[in-house]
Amino acid sequence: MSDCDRFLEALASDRLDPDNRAHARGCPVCGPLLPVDGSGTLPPGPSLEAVHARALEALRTTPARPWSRDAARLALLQGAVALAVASMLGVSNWNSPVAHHGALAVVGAFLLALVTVGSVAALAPGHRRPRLLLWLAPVVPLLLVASGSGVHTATTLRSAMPCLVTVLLTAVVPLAVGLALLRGMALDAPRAMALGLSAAATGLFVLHWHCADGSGPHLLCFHALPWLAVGLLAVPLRRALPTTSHVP
Amino acid sequence: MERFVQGEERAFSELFNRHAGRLQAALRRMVGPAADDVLQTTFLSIVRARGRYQRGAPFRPWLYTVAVNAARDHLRRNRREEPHATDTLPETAAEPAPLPDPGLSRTVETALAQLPGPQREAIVLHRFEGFSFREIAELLGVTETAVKVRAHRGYERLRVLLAAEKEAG
Repeated sequence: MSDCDRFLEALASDRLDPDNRAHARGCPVCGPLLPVDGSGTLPPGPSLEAVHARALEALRTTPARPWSRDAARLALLQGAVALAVASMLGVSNWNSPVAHHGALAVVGAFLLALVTVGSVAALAPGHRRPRLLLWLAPVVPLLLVASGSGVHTATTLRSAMPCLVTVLLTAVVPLAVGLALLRGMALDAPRAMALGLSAAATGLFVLHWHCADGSGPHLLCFHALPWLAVGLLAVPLRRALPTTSHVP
Repeated sequence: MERFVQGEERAFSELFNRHAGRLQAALRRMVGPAADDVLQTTFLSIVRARGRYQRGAPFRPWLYTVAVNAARDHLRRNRREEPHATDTLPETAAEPAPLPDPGLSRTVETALAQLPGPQREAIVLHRFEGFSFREIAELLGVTETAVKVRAHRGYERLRVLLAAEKEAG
């Protein structure tokens, strides 16, 4: 291994020792690659004055808007949509695809958390929280199927389709509002998908109290699949929208 | 930073004066002549969405995250608008920031402009801006290993390009 190779290895692993540095200083090829101190400042040039003035103008006219307020509003909206659709489907028409009362409560609470906490996580600053939400993508279908009663009532496509339509339609308003909010932050596919999954969980929550079919294939094809589809669809939709701020 | 989030103009101007020049040089290496537009977008972004700043977080990595996002958005939109544009910059695009040896810096800038976007980002942030790989990973929202791979490939390619330049010169 030549000194140049050793220097490159050390540089790429962020472990430059004095020997590597000494080699780089005397080598015409490695020398230009030697990292410089990034802590210094460069004085603003004339072209920066216009940038500064425009940013100051924006600072005067734009009030600070805490992200948590937007997230809380979206969570409330999703809750309101869930209640409205549940009412429309009939409060006296309670049915559940879940086998036991305990499972009914646990899965219901989990879906409600996905609707509310999910939207907050999807809008939270940084990269981590939206990605954490994506771990639920395989968990939700498993949970739905595992807690299902196994009773197959929607024997025709026509009787099963309303579940799929409910998941898709209940997601429309929360997803539209969420995507409008996402325009104010950097384009991030996991974040868009997390938002889509949270928005579509509104429909899952509604169906949890109104669908009588607890068979695995029905729960997978007409509940979980459209839920995942909305999550995936959110990514190209967000990509198609312009970004007003690139803050993570 | 807290005072800037509250909307204090003097606090913003202090941050601007401290970071704008250096960031402009970094953006020239990433997007070439569009650096001023991307810089404008970056500062407008942080002003408009200052409510997303996490209290106590260091400002400089946050600013660079926003700048990298804005640079990527610019390159993506350019690709969409110009079907023949590539991720790499034209050799004449990058106006080099001041470095100790102008001849040497020109060579590095030219070689840098020929790297693919992700490798160029990793090298600009590491070689020119002095961020560690861990900081870059945090800043870009990827793993440290991914950053090291990008930087390693980028440095390897840079070394080949620089050696070729030396031989030609």
